[in-house]
Amino acid sequence: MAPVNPHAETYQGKTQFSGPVRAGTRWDGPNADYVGLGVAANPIAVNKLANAGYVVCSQSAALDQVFSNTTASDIVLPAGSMIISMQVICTKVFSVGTGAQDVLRIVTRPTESGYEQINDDAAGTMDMDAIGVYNFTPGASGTRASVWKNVNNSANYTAGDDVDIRYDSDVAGDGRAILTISYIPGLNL
Amino acid sequence: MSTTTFSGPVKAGNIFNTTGTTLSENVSNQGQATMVQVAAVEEGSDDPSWTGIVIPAHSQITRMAVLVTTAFANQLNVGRSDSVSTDINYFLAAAIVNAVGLVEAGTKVANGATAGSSWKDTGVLDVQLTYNSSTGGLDPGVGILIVEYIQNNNLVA
Repeated sequence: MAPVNPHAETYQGKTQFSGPVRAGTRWDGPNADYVGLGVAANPIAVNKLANAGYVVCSQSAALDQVFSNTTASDIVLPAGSMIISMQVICTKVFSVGTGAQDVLRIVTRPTESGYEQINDDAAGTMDMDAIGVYNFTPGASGTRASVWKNVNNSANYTAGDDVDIRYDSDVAGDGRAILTISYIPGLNL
Repeated sequence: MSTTTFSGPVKAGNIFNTTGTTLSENVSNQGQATMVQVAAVEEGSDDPSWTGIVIPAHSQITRMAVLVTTAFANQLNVGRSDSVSTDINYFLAAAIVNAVGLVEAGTKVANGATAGSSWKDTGVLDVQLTYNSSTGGLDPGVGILIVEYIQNNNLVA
């Protein structure tokens, strides 16, 4: 069953933008020209630089325990986005099957070479063996870190395509969780 | 992708002002949008170097993290340089970024000695963030510095 917003009647309207939404008192400046330059040899007054940042965007989806990495969540990230954090709230412990683990894998859509897992795959890091809050990371993988940096840095992915988020476990079961991905849309690093 | 830009801060909630004491009816429930800026940091840059990140005055830092894509040989400091002073480790001191992955400040990373106050309120002026590693020069480390903040929160506690 699709998740229901209990405030749906309160929030009949929404303010929506194509985004990204930025805020700051100075919008334009030569910031990019100074990135990585030495401070001493390249002085610049801070009031000459833009101070606008990005509003953090997030999408959440209810996940069940499935044994199929073609299972789509409700999350679709805009092309070129950067993932800055990934949180899972486990509301019902995942079942452990014979020879299987109670893991939760977060993957991007199928590619020619299979699926691109984007949370740490090290033993113990993706076990949903207790109710609670888990902060997923890319782990010690340059490939996954690269996908967090830009979601289109995935094998066989076409630049400019939105990226849909899928998930699976080692075995189908009763587990339930809420996945929240925070990101900067369209950053294109 | 087009961009929508405001002077900010951006707030949201369906009750704008507190005019009474009844929740859900007349007590403000607005929250402030969390902002984020990111910048590439390279260990081989001069020490210290600019990040290009400029935080508006009186902001509250809520999170710093480094997405390490190439492991550093040395530790990483994140400081500031503005018209007040230059401090190489004002926000982060000796961050351990010697492995690929996401490193969160406050867990694996030590904050600067003044981090308690510098994170609470970045100060009366805008501040540009700087970074340096312990040696600089030829070392290969590369990462993305992530800074989340609440714009002009102006905390006094």
